[in-house]
Amino acid sequence: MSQTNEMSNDIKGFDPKILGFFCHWCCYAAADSAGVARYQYPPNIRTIRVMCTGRLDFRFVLEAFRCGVDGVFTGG
Amino acid sequence: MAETCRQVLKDCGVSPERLSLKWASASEGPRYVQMVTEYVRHIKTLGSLGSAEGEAGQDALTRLDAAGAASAVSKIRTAYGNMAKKFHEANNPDAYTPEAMETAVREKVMPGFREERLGQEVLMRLGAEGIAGSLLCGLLGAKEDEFEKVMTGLVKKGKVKAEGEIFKPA
Repeated sequence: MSQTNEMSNDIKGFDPKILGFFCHWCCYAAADSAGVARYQYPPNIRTIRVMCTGRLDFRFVLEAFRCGVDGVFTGG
Repeated sequence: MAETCRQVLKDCGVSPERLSLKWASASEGPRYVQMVTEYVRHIKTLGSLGSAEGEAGQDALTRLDAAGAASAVSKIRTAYGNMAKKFHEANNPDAYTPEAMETAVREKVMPGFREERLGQEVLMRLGAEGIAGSLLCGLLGAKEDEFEKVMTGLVKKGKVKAEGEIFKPA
């Protein structure tokens, strides 16, 4: 994993891998409306939709970092 | 949840700023765009996980691994659940201040979590031929009394055996 990290850092303009946990009713809908309105934003977030942000557990976040993401973005 | 995560990340030597918790309602598309743009920019300045933590990067990754394993242990889950239950039973919405949560997590969850994480890390770092106690303690970055406690626990559980100064997997 450290190797991939080093490699991604070597590439000019480091491209972070970010995991997003989005609430179905709030942030996910906001992301959807942003998409429909054709706003431009960075494509670094990979989304996981949850039915409520309250569903999240610290295990999820730790597991994400364990898998090597550079950040976790939680949107309620 | 977020507070526990932040304190665990900090304990592992990873910047807690890597976790962000933000709110946007369904109609706030532009706000969402702004939040994401800012957050991605922030992570870019922090750098990638592991290498951004400098020389301690590889250690941080091992610690995260150990923390992940520790977070599944029922003792830790119970401590976390009990802490949350206390807040709930107080039945006072004003009790959920950042300071109160910080203290509760630090006092009720983190000591057990750290001990469990160190234990998991020991098991990960023990090679087949074993490792000397003083070296292992240095690798863990643990205080001596803390290390002693973790090791006696592991020996008692039969997960590790001590041969003089050398600890070996059982």
